[in-house]
Amino acid sequence: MSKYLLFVGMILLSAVLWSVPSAMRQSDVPFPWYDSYDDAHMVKEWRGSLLDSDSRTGQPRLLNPAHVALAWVGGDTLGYLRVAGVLSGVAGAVGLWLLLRRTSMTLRASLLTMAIFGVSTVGLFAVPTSRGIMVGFTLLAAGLVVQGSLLSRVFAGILVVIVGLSGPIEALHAVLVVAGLLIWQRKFGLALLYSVLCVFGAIVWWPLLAGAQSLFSFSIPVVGILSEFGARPGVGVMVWLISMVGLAVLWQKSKRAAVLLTGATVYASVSVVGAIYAAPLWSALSAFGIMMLFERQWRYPTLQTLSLFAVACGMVFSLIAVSFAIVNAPPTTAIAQGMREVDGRVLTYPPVADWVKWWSDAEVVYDTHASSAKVLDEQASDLGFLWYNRDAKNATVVLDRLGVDDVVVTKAMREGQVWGSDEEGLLFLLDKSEMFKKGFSNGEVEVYHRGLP
Amino acid sequence: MKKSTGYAIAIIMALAVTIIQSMLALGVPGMSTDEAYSHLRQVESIRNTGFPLSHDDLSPVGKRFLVTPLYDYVLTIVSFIVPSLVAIKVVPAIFAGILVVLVFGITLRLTQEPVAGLFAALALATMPALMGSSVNTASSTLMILSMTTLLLWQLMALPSPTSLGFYTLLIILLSFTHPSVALVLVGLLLYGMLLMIGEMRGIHGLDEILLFSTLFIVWSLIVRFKDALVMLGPMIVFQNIPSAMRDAYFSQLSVLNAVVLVGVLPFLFGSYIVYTYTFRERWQDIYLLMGFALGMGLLLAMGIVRPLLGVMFLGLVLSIMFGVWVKRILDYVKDTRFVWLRVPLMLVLVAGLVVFSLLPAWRTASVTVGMSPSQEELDSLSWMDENLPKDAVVLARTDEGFRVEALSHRRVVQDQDFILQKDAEQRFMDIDAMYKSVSEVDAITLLNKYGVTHIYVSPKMRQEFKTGKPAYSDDAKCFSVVYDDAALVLRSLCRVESR
Repeated sequence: MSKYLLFVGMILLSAVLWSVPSAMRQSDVPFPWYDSYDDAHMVKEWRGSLLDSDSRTGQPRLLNPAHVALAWVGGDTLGYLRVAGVLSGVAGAVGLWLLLRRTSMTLRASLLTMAIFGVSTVGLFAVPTSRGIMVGFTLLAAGLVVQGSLLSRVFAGILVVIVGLSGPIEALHAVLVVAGLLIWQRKFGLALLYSVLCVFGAIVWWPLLAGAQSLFSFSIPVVGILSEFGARPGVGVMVWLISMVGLAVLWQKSKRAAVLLTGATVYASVSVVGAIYAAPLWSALSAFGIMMLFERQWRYPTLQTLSLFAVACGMVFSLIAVSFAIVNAPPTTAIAQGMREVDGRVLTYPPVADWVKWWSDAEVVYDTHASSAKVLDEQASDLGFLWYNRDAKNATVVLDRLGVDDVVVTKAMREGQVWGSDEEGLLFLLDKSEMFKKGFSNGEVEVYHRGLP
Repeated sequence: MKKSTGYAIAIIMALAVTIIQSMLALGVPGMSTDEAYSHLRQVESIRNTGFPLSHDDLSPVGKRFLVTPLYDYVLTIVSFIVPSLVAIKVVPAIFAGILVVLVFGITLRLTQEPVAGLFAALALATMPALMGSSVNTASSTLMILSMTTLLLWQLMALPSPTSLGFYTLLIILLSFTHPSVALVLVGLLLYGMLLMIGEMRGIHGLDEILLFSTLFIVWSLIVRFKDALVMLGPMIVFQNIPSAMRDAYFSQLSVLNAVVLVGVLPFLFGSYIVYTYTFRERWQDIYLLMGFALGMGLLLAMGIVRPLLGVMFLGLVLSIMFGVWVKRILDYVKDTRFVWLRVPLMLVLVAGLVVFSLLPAWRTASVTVGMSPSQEELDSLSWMDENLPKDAVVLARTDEGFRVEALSHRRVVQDQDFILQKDAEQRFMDIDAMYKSVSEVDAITLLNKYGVTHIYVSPKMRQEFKTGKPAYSDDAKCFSVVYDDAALVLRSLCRVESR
């Protein structure tokens, strides 16, 4: 069978694997968790008007090429977001393939890498989000930039500008990936050029964000990026383990490559965002590790068989577990129903505000975006106070200042996301104070309206 | 002494341990630990359905976390020969006996001296921690320790194909039996480090053993703990045990306590052997044991394993080391003019074990057996089974939760299967507040929160109240006494209406 046919088959299989979990969700809530709904809301905003502030938060609206492009396409926003995510995933896979073919990896190892990339849990998490789309573009740019032809480099340049425009975090990682590869090839001038192109977008559109977004957000080393421990996005623990074996193998083959990849591995093992960009890295290192298990002369062949069995099972189980997690993740239809019941100006847990923005016409006090460091500080201070304060008078002062009409509480917020017990802070007041009236409740969502004290 | 004679004596010793422990356990009507009743329910379930309880209406979260299904199947098999209650009393004693023989075997392998093996076996048989953990507790600790000891033996016997087969089988069984299989990983890694420090090669194919064990154990742990991992993240190592309860577990263990639980002689002379082979001499099999002991010490220090399991394992390793010390000292005496001292020395050591291990062990066993509920208490739970509505929700202390579930067949607010309880900490605090609250309104609010219909006050709990019952329960409008003997059962009648 031709290697290209195998490659195409793998790409198609990956696209199907990435699409299935979302397709198995209820049709009105096709995406898990929050980010995709925030993206969908932004697309809706761009479709309504150009260059204005966000109609729900009043914050300056930030330009993201993915949002603008989807707004321009029109039609079913959620449907197009899903298609765009999968297509960018495919673009990323093509980029990875182009990249691998420029390395000294054997065809078997390259195909194995592609297969592992296809079943990567990171892909499942990232596909239906604008960040996922930009990761796909970054990977395609990386694949193109190492090809050497003028056309591929121009195309790569366009891609990095698009990625740079979508945000400082995306721009920074594009610099790390694309310019890093060029530095690896000792093409320092080109590396500088692409870095400038990446940063260009960021400095044009994102000065408002100076200090508001942390470019590097770190998690608990290793554990914080493992999907089995609930990391989103996360890499499967078996992939991570076998990657470490692969890294050890690489140290014996090429010290220079190993130093670079060890640095990347360390960063990807502690960085929240880095985990998405590291999907190809984990795939390639895992392929090295698995090849070692295959090719090594074992003293105990039984252990070889069982080790490979454990690796294969571990990878497949991760994929299945994450797929199920995505299928069963919030929001549910009941949550969507609750979000439609709000009115006025809504206070809730910031990520939940992304759902409110998508399903209702209500304004939200705070969401996951903050236009400046000052807003971010105010948000932390206000929410820190409101969530854990039980004094009705003090709470009223803050709620009046924020202009809160409704408070939305989800079951997850009650069960640890915000509060540890019913007696804590605002939750206590919502249940006990006459300041609030429960307007809606369906077991998943409660909506409290503010009344007279 | 011939090896066969040594084995025969070791088996007699093992039988004695099994019989004595069984007799002690069968002398009381109930079980000494609450966990035992959880095993009793699992045995009943397996007998009725063929499967352990995974979805359980009596569980606070509706779902059981299966930690030791293999052990429950072993208990069930025995329960087809004797009644279930007898099975859960006898099986740990049988495993204690098996462990004695295994320790003899390993020590014999190390020293080639049956007498040394017998001393190691005796040190283990008289270890207070062994009595504390196996008499009338239905604890799975002994089975896990037996499997781990056998696994160590197989590692020492590599590269024999039979040993490899046994090792693989034991890893697979242990992986699906108890999370403490992680000790194998930590132990092997530390063993590897010790070998590096000692510049030794170690067991044949250690890298392959380590690679296979790591991959397989990690995979099995992920499969088994999938839900809990997502829910608790890295904090899963603490098993979601409420902090107050966890503190209580570990506050019971001081260094002195640990020495007494292990036995003074095995601790002293075993530690001497550890010192000798750490700093002065080299022996790869001893390094293997030390690697595992260090691993357990590490897990114990981090609060990941329960103290008794940790102390038991350390005691087991020290017993083997004690056997090695006996071999050294007997060899030493043999090379001197005082060869006649061999027998008196052995008698002194036996006497020492009797005084410093057996007597504390007997006391530990008495204390453990004394923790068993009285017949009156068991009667009260039977009464609840026969008289309370099927949908009643009972307030019982967390450390009595399994007992109440198993014997009254009614739902409780919390039992010790914490791992999937999202609000374990809160429930634990609320239960304390429900018993001890001085405010009737607060108590009723909490009782309403958990849908409690009946309050169970055990005899032990009654002693904590001046009047023998919760302070707020005098209000006859809200609380009626439905059972009053050694234990007290109150019915909760009122509701606090929210707006």
